[in-house]
Amino acid sequence: MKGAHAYRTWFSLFWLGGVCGSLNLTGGCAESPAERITFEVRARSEGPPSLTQGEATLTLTRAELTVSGIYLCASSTASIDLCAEARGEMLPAVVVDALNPGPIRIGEGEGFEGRRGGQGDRVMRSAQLSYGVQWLLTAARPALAPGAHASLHLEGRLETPTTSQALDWRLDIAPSAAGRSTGAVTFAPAVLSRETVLTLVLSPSAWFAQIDIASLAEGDEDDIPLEPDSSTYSALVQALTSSALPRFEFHSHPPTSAGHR
Amino acid sequence: MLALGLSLVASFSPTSRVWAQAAAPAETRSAEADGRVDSEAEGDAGPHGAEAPASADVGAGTRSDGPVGGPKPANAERIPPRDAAPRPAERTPGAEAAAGPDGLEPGSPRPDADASKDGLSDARAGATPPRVLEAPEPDFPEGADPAEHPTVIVHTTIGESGEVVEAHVEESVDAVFDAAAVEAVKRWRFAPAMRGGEAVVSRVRLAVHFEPPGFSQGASSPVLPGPLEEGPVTTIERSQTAATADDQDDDEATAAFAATVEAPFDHGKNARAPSEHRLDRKLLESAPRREAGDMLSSAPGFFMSRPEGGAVAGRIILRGFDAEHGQDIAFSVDGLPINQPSHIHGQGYAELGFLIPELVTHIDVLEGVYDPEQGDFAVAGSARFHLGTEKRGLQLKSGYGSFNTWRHLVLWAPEEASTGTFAAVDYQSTDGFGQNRDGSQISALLGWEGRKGRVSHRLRGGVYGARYRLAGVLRRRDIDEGRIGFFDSYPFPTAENQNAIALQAFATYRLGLHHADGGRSTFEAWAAAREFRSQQNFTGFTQVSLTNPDLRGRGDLIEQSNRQLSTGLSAVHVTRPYKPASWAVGHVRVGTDGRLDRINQTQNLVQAPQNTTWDQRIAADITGVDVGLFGEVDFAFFERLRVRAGFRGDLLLYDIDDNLGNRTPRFRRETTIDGFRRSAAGLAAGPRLSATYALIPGLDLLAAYGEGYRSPQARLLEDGESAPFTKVRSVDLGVRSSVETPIGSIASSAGFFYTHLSDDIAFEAREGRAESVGPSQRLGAQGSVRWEPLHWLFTQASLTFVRATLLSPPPPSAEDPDPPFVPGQALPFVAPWLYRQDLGARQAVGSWFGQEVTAFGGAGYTYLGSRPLPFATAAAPVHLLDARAGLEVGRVTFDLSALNLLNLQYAASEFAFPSNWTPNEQPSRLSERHIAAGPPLTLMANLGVRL
Repeated sequence: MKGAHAYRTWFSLFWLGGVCGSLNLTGGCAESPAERITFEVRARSEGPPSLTQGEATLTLTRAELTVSGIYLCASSTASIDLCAEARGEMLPAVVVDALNPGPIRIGEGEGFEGRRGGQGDRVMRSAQLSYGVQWLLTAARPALAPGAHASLHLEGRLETPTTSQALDWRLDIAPSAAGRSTGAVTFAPAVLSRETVLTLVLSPSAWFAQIDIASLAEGDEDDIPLEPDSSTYSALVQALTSSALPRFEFHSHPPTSAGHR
Repeated sequence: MLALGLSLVASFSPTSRVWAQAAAPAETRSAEADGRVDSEAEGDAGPHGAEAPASADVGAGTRSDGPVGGPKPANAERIPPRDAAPRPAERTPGAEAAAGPDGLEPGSPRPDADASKDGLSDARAGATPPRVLEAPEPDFPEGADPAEHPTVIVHTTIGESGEVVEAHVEESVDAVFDAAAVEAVKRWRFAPAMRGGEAVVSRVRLAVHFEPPGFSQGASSPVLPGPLEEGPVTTIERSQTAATADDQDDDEATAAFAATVEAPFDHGKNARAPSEHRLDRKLLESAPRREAGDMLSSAPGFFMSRPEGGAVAGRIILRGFDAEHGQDIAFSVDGLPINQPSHIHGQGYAELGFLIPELVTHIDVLEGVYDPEQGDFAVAGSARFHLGTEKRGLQLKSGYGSFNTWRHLVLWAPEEASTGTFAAVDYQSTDGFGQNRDGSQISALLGWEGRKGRVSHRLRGGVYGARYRLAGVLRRRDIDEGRIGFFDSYPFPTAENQNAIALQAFATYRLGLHHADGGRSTFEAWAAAREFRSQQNFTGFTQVSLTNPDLRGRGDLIEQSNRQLSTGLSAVHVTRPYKPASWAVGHVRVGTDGRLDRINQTQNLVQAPQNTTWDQRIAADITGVDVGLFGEVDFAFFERLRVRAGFRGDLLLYDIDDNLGNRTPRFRRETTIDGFRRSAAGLAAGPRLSATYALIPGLDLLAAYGEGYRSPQARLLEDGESAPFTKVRSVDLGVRSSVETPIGSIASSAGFFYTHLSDDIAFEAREGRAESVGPSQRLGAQGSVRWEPLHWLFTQASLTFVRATLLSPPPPSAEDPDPPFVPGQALPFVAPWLYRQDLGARQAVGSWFGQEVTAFGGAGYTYLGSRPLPFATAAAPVHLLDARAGLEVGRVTFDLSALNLLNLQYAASEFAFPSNWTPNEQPSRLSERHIAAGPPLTLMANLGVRL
């Protein structure tokens, strides 16, 4: 009977050994999770820095757009309700030279690596951003983001037949006017990786597309109506936050030269 | 004069190898039971209380192995335990024992056994129980109904010379059989119990079984699949055909005994799957436990923690299931269902804090869905707690330890009453192991059991209350970068005001009927009132009011309230045994259970510290009814194969008054009123199948398949919707074995398992509850071994590996129209690896001022492997070592326990979700790792006395 006992003992040990061996094998199949990564964020300007309507020409000599709080979202209509959890983001406020055809590096974002599979994985479809505005949940009203002077600072020159000489002008769009954030910036479905470069494409001239620039010179030559309560100011805010939003371009590889691919 | 009160259990199958395995648990129980010196014993026996060291000797060295007709073990001096499962140490009154089949008292040394051969000296044995020398057959009373096969339990006192000095009926059948049983027992002759080399008076409970003349319990009459018992009953029946060791060899003697061993989840022979386990008292009290629920950590595949803090139900992991607060495991305590359907804090919410560890006799765990009695929430499996105590008399116990923690226990168990009769009050208070963790709780539990003739009664009742402050979760990055301490809480009122309160009262009653034909019926009714309220902030400052979007940034302190009144009934009938052929025997079990729940629940956002409500999220009244019907055919074939084929169906109905449903925009307040009333119903049904095949003596093959369900969160149902259920299909394949080796007895089980869920759920921090994530599956393997190298030492180890994967993307939403999904991606929060080892020792070491001194100790080690978290992160592995050591001197016990002995910092749970704990900075919306700190090294000194 000792033999029987030994047999049973060894059978049991063999069984357990087999189980453990199986465990090791199957354990090797465990999927390694994706990682939290950083990616480069750039900006570039497209289009001419000037806009001509009839005989009037508006030329931008300086355009500094403050970008802050970029959230990349799975939803196709990013909002605070539909993007409580982002897949990528860039939080610090940065001042972007909107006239630089660049692209220029403006910062670094963070996010989770995604993969394009049969059914997608951490795909992003839209973004939400603000222009130098920081409206914290705990605050009663929006404030200027650290490092920002204005949502948009513009300087330019206006030339019309009615003016004897070109008029220089400057304008600051206040954060309170720019609001908490833009509407959803939609883009083609994209995922993040370590090689991702996100480029914000700005079209400064498009901000003035809805403005009758010739009418700007109808008044006093030294007083171009750009006050916050002016229609020009409102049209610019509308363009910035809604009708002339930046375009988001994703590249899976960094550009090989100064220009983007 | 010392007197020993012994509770002896042994069992043997007369014929069947399959059933011989089933008998094993009984024998193993005897191992624990034998050494137990009953405090009700006469004279000054009391102080040696709980587990006298004789127990292991008895279990390991008194009986021969092998089924009837099987080969006789060569080392007959040592008794191989026949079951791979843990050994229960305590029993209900019915779980008493009778003489062993070889004419020996089960668990008592064989007359020819030479203890020294086993290296077991008398000193090591400490005490030995009485053993049967002669056991003449009981006479079947003349004129009695031949259709009756009754068993009478006789409480017997055995004198110092081995004579029966007193015998009285403890469980009556009728006067005729009672008298015949007492008369038979009085003719039995014993070798007396021994302690310290001296004969002492002892008590045993003997089950005298009657069969009419001509009815053989011999080889052609295998032990039947046991009828449903009232709890973990093991009854050994000494039949008329019993012979003594003097005139039969072991195998023949074995044939003379019938064993009726049954509990719904009894292990060993009755195990439905390799994943069925019993956690006995010996195992449960080996390592220190923070609370009774932690006892489940000793079950293979279980990991228990209470990461959210006191008064909030623990978090449970089982075989690849993150069962949260109980959503995947059906818990019950002596027939009282614990899971709360549609609870606001988590589906199947199960609070086990009311349990008093000293009153848990054993826990039956069935991992998988294979028993028709497993109803709602038995997705990963079920766990049944059984209450009682073998320590009779008045016990007073106080403990003090780290963090100004106090515990006081008063437990009274009338000496003349059964183990299921008790009353206890347990009070605890603590400052907590970090900020905002102080609180207190109290639990009172009552139990009564009685039996007269064929009718038994059981009452249980309890009241529980707990209130704790909660520390909440911390961002891992904040800890790593030194912005906050590991055991701290965020310094905002919205974090510091986190707390929870749990209140409940319950009562259960069960009526048991033992029919004359061998059948059995039970009827049970229960009621429970439970209230829960918590205020917890997982996310900091991210919420915006849905009622008024201008309200924001007031802190995400979520207040959840759940008031629930539940009532239920159940009835089970097990037929008499049927024997359609000489090679087949079995019975049929049918039953029904039902419950009604009335639930009132709310969820609001409150602003600390005034707790003003600044947003309402949920306000609902729910009524739910669940009625289940089940049945099972349980047959044994050719003495080797046991097949159980069952079925269960449940109809669930819901009436939901969602007071905040159809939330109306502010600009339409004048024309619309909030509210969404609806009702729904659904049917869940599926088979439960299992088979056991005795391959060789000591080795069984097991296979099981079952389909179960989890009810839906009622509030999420649409009107008229055919209530969707989470359908679970589970398969277990494996073996159980029990061997006796030169290095001690080894019991083991191992197997593979597969589980498929039609719709899984995972924790959603923003709402503080679980949300659907889609279908999933678990594929894994599990093995466990219990080794008892010495009579005073045992160890049990288990290893579980599981690969839990999501099978398809989670349901799309507007926020996430294409949820992250990679085929084969691991389910979050589920650790693939789990290892657990328990070690226990208990030994008499001498005497002090005439009082016997017993040393005891134990340890438990848990390794929880790295857990995948959502969004590409993983939690660190967890190593936990707990240990205790103590001395028992007479009636006084002192012990010192250390939890997390290595003082390792670990996260009791980890999550990944966006949060904002820097309200003055631009908030990140990326998912961040969050942890709930596990307790550091916690020392506790306990002093107890039995009066």
